[in-house]
Amino acid sequence: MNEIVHTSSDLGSGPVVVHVDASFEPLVPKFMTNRKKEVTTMTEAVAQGDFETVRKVAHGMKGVSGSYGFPEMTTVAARLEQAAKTADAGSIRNDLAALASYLDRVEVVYD
Amino acid sequence: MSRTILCVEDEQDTSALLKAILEREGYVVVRAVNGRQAICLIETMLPPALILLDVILPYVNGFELLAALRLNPDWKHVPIIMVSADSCGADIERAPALGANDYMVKTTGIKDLVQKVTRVLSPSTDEDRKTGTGDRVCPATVTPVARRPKARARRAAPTNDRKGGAK
Repeated sequence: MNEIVHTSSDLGSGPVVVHVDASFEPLVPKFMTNRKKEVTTMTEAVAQGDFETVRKVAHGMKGVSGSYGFPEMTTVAARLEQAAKTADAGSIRNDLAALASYLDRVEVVYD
Repeated sequence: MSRTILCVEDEQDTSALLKAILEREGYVVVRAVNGRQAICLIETMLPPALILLDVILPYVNGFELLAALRLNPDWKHVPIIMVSADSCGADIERAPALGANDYMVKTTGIKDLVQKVTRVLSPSTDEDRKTGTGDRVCPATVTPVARRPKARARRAAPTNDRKGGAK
């Protein structure tokens, strides 16, 4: 369904192009909006020491991003989920910052 | 007539994607967003041709629902594909032991959704075999259900014109 084109591991720092089946175009904008909301939710949660919320949201993100064909996001979400289990706030903050940047840079191309 | 698939998935974007993929294949999709809503549907709607059942759900989790479905006389023969974000061995082993016909990992396997649905719903010659209850399982992907009672009368094989299941 999707093809990822990027130049570095995980989320990288440059432009990211993700190819998505054109028939799913109506779903992607909401998908992206919801992922950004989740980053905000997790950022607020880790600031409050609420690692359970981070874990739950990351778990959900892991599944849905994989389903839509964003494997880098899946990888980071899985890492966030694990970091939440060990209450590793520093790692969580780093990954959330990278994820926020990624979501701002990613360009979806419909095939 | 289109076949109906019940999709029990709490993550709204995943649910929307599953619906879009399956409707593109001609299925009618009914959705439940949590375990309670699924239970309401079980009590009110005709059994569908197939159930996609998320493992992690609010209120009643997927494995609890699976067990309840396999005890329901009207729904126990409906094929069920468990869906999860995790690929851990424990869940994958637990699913068929509780009566699921297959298991799909969202992160890597959604591209196989149509293939799995087609395989589970298609009457096959070599792949399908009946358990002592007359249920159909796909041995290529599922361990035989060890917990099912043995002392049951054989039932006729489900046919394509079963209520809610005909296409």
